[in-house]
Amino acid sequence: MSGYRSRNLSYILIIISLFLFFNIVVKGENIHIHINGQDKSQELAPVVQDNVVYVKARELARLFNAEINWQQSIKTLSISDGQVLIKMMLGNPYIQVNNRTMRSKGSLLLLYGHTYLPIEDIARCFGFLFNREGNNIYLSRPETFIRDIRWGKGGQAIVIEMDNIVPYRINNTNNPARLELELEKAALADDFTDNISNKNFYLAVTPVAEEARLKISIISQYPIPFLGDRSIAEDGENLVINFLPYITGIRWKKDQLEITASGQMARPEIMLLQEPRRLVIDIPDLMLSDFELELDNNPWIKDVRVSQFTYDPIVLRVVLELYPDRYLHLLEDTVSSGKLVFNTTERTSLTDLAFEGNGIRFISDNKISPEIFKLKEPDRLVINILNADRGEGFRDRIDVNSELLKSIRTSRFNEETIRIVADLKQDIGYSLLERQLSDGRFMNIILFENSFKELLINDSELKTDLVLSFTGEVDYEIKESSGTLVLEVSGVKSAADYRVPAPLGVIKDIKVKPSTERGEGIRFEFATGEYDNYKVFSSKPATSITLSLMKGKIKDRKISNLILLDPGHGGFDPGAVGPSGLTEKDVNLAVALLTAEILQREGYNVMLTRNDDRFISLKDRVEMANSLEAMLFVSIHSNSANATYSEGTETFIAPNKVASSQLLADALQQNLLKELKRYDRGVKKENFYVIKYTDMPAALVEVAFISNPHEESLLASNLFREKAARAIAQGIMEYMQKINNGS
Amino acid sequence: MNRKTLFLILLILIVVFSVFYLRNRQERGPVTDGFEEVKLYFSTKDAMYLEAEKRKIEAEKSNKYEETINELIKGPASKELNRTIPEGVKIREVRIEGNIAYLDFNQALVANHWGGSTGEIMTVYSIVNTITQFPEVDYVKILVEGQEIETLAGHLDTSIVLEPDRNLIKE
Repeated sequence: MSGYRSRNLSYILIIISLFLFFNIVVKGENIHIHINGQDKSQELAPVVQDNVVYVKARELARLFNAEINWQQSIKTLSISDGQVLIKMMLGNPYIQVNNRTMRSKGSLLLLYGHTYLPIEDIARCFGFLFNREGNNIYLSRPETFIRDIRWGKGGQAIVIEMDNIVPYRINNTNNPARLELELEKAALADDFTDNISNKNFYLAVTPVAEEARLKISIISQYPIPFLGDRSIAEDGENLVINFLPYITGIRWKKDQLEITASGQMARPEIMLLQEPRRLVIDIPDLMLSDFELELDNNPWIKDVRVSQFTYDPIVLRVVLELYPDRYLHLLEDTVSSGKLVFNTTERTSLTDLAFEGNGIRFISDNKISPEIFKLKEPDRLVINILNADRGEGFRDRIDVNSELLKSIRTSRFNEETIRIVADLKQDIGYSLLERQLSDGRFMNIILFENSFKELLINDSELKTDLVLSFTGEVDYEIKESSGTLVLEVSGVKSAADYRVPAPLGVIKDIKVKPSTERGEGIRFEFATGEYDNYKVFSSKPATSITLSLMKGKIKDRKISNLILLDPGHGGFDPGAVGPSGLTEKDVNLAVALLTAEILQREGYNVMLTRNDDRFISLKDRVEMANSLEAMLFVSIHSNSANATYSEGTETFIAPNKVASSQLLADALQQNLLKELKRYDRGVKKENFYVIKYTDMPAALVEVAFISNPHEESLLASNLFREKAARAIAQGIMEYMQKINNGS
Repeated sequence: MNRKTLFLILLILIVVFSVFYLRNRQERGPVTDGFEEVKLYFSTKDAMYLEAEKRKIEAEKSNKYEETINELIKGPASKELNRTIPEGVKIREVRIEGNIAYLDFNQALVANHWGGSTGEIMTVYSIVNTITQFPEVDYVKILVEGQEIETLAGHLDTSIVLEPDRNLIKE
């Protein structure tokens, strides 16, 4: 009894003495304290003294889930959440946090019979972010710490390294030279390093107090080559912002103009404009930056201007001001090589057009690089000669009426281009020959003849395919004798040697020789191993011939305990397509290949219905499974629905095969949930083609929703794909073990 | 005539008249206002279930099936539901043979479909469950441009006649 009384007495005394000491305590009625977005001012009853905000200790401890303890004998308050232990002594500005001591802006207060704590220091000690804006105080505990922001992929990407990925978004700033990314519940780590800022880039990180967000801004003097939301990807626990390539150089090299970039360029759109005469080259998805300009004293280009023509879509415009009568044209085949190369074309006069032998010939003043292409219905060959005029003996029309050609027509296609059209009687190959005459002019010959282009061999479990292609239509005949398949092709020019691939699958040897059996031709002799029958997938005549040698007696080569994985969709069937363009077929194949790898490493026999991006009908997938007598069949898919909020993982079995497949499906679904932690949509029964018609236990997994933007970004990441593969492999192995133990 | 017989005759007359009256009313009932109420099954927001939305169609039109499908194509009125039929889909023909409804759609049903197992289930069973609400229809066969299709989006077997899937319905 007396103890209580004396304690009460001492409280009163302390309070009185405090009032005497600090008589400037202000009730903080207009101070608002938000913890994780919620206003807790009512409970915390903030007061202000010497511009330090204090709150009720017990209420703060309750909100922080901490335990509070007052030791009267040493006038010390201790507060702990199990990880952080803070001790404060009445009126002492030094506070002890675990094993270190720090000086606080305020100290423990006793007011109106309650203990009060300086909120800023205590919150920070408990790992909260503290932001004060006027009378509003925001406390939030970050879910992730950013450790490093650096360049990746050789300057082609920005990598944000953090503990774990939190919700993020790219702000639309309307300033192409400013990239703004917002991360929720994120903070900079103590050892954060900025490895981005350099002479071109500046990094600024600002907390958005109200909602505990972190705003990361990257500011450049040039437009930053990123594609908004489309350029951001998750890579493990890092965020990666991928950049578009930028221009690095425009150089004059040996009578050619070269445009180079930091990455692959797409095919540009090119226009020739007059007054002043200029070539306008619009290159899509390419960014402006400092680039090297070396024009020497070339006689073609007067001046170059480069600008970022538009930002949406992103287009870089290069304008080349040309000297009169000068023209440059793009060498088409350089587009895929990562640089754009333009050849020079001088104004040239074309003369003496004629049809001779098997070809069209004409003379040009200068060397030309015509653009030649075929058109169908009716078959035509079009030759565009840029920067040219028609001179003597270059008639509008020549009626040929040869075996191959009906006629040749010429016209001025536009101000810059002369066009020659050869009306063909059939689809035939051609080659362009050029010879310099003694007077310095050039003789150009377009020779009509078919030649052999290439032979491809594909081997699969079911068949070996031979695909032969020619520059034009050929006729052919196939003869089968024991151990040899002979293909006689006529209407094609023979050559001294042919490039053919190494034998594969059923094909044991390939011999190619000129043939004279039915006019000029080529004879292909394929030595074959054992096969069932062959099928031809081409009409007659054809520019490409496909022969499939179907393998027989698959059952003799049956693999015991075979696991057949079925990556859904493929080829022209992309499956579902995500909001940012990710295709289901690619995800399915990647996950299936990773799954196969794990299972093979564990010693299981695994095969896939497809190893690459090709279309296989549902019926063929089933046939493959049944003829191989696989032990189990798992089809791998990514889900989609007409609602971006649909999410989660589900596994399907066929209603006619519940007994045999339920165990497999349960093992798959449980492991996927454990590994991927997505919403559980359950194991369902549906009449899906591949799981219904296969003779063995079968399940179809839908890993996650590609139609859901968040799950799409997960499905795009390698880490998530690996996790999915691990789960599917684990599910299969668990099932196998159960089956083996049970039997 | 004693009172008992009179009472019996009266009772019989009442029963007969009321049966006739009720039968007549049942036959005429829906036609009285020219509309018939049908259930259209649309996808829930999470694409877990199909939920019915009631809508009136003109019952006097010769083909109520076609009208019902056209309403299904229009999509839900409720913001809580999602459409199940892709843009551009048109019904070409509805044919009833026995208890099977043959529904022939244009190519858009396949070409414009958003894919996915769930997406495909929602589309197929919104059609099948909607059409089998008519008691004379037990099965549905989906055709595209007059042809049987192996599958709509790469999962469901649509080469067979389909029964309604009541498990998908959220009451």
